[in-house]
Amino acid sequence: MYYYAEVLRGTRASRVIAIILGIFLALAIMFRLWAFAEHSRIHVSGAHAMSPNIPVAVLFAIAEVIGLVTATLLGGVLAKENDGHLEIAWTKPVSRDRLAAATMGVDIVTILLSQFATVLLVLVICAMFVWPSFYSDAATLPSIAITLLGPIAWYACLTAFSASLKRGLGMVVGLGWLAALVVPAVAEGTARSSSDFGRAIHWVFQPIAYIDPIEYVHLSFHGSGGMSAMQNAPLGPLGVSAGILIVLIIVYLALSVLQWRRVEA
Amino acid sequence: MSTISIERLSKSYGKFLAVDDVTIEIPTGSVFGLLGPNGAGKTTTFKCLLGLARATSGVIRFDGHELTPSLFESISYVPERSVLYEWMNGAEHLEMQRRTFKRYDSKRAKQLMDLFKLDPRKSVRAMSKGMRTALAIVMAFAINPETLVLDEPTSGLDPVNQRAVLNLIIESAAQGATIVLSSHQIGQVERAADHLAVLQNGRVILAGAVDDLKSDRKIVEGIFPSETIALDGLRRDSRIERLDQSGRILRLTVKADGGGLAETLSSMGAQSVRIVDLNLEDIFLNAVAPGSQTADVVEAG
Repeated sequence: MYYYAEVLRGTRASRVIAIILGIFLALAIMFRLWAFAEHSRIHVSGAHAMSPNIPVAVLFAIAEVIGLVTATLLGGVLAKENDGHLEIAWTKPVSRDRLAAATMGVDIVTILLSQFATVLLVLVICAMFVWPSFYSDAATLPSIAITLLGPIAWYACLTAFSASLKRGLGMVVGLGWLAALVVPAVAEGTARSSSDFGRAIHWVFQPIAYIDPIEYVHLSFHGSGGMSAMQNAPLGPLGVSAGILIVLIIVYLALSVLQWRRVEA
Repeated sequence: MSTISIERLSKSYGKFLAVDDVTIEIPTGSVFGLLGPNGAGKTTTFKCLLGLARATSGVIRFDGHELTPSLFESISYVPERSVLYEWMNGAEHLEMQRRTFKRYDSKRAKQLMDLFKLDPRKSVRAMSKGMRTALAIVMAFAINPETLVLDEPTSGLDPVNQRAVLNLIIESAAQGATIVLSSHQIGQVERAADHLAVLQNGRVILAGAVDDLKSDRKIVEGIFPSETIALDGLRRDSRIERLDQSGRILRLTVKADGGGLAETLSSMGAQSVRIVDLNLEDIFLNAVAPGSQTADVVEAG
């Protein structure tokens, strides 16, 4: 298993995520105990009547946040190797392409596991309070796909933009988040601008927004009717956005490997 | 057939030529010392050899074949600086080797950890430079490699551990491993190496079997009554490759046996004259700083 170092790195990231989820669980337990002591009427036996309707994709939308945190922790993995460890990485009896693919594969599995762990935690917390009525509709599958693909695309994006760097990964991650949030907002804000300057800004920022994974991961929910179209999704339907995320993942991962091939120790 | 053949290797970084047309043959089962002053191109040569840096030109072959990832199953590399993962401990590094290399020998790894008195539970972050070097050595030797590339393998080690590394090198060579070694500790290289090349400014300025390099040169050393020695005649003598004066002592590096030069020094007033064999340090200094030098310059080299 030539990707053992990455397994250890993933395990460490998972520990951080476990601590975060553990804090949420502890808070939930404390709140539940407080509620039980102070407001016995909230007892589960009476909760069924108040059980809300919630789209099942909401579980994954919550998990997506944790997925993005994990992706940020693990993103730029090749730059981490570039920063003084290439002599170890590249003297293993395996090609660079395979090593990079396996390393990123381990990280992607870790990101997905963190999301499923979060879904599990949310279910546990639901069971402690009020078990909602989960429902699904036509939007469920593409929505879940987006919530699962979004963090992976963000991980791939961070890795691609840092794969040839030996230092400065922290700056890439920090500026990456800033750009990921600001660029779509500016592009959206200048979309209907009447001034030449505003249109010029839009003309510059909109293409960047198209390659920003965060642009595609916003979901909105309307009332109790469940999930509807995405907010800020530049290309409309959920399925198209999921498809774009897949393309972005493939392109960013391929760019990462191509760059890493050319790095020198 | 040579295990490792480097033909006309050049490597430039922008306009800076780090390695310039280097050709080296490293025979199977030999201990090959690569010597040179700082910045001579030794580490860059190692990196090109192992594909860690792209050669600008030249060909490198292992047993006649180009380097492929599968060859790393039997190649170990200990770089000049620590490349270990700071957040991992010794045991995790060894586990990484165990899972990566089929040739990994757990028993040998344990023996080597004990030899260097390394605590496997200790984080690399908490290790001294010497401990990191020792752990890198353990990782390298634990896979029983056929080829070892060691760049300053005793850097930061205490004399006891330096000796242990040297013994490991000699032991591995005796079992048939090919070892390429660079070190500023010329005495260590002399003890282990049977072949060497000297690099300077990226170029090979001397190469060959150590015994051959030693046998065709001698040192003629004379002690004079005062520091004022008339050197003019000696400077023009074609038999003399190098002339060093340190106070009242004059050392001449001469070709072959230096016949007649002992008598010349005696006739110049030397109180005592002796002819001694060259050691590797003499060969190295003669190569990197040829000609007449003051003792101070030689010592600084």
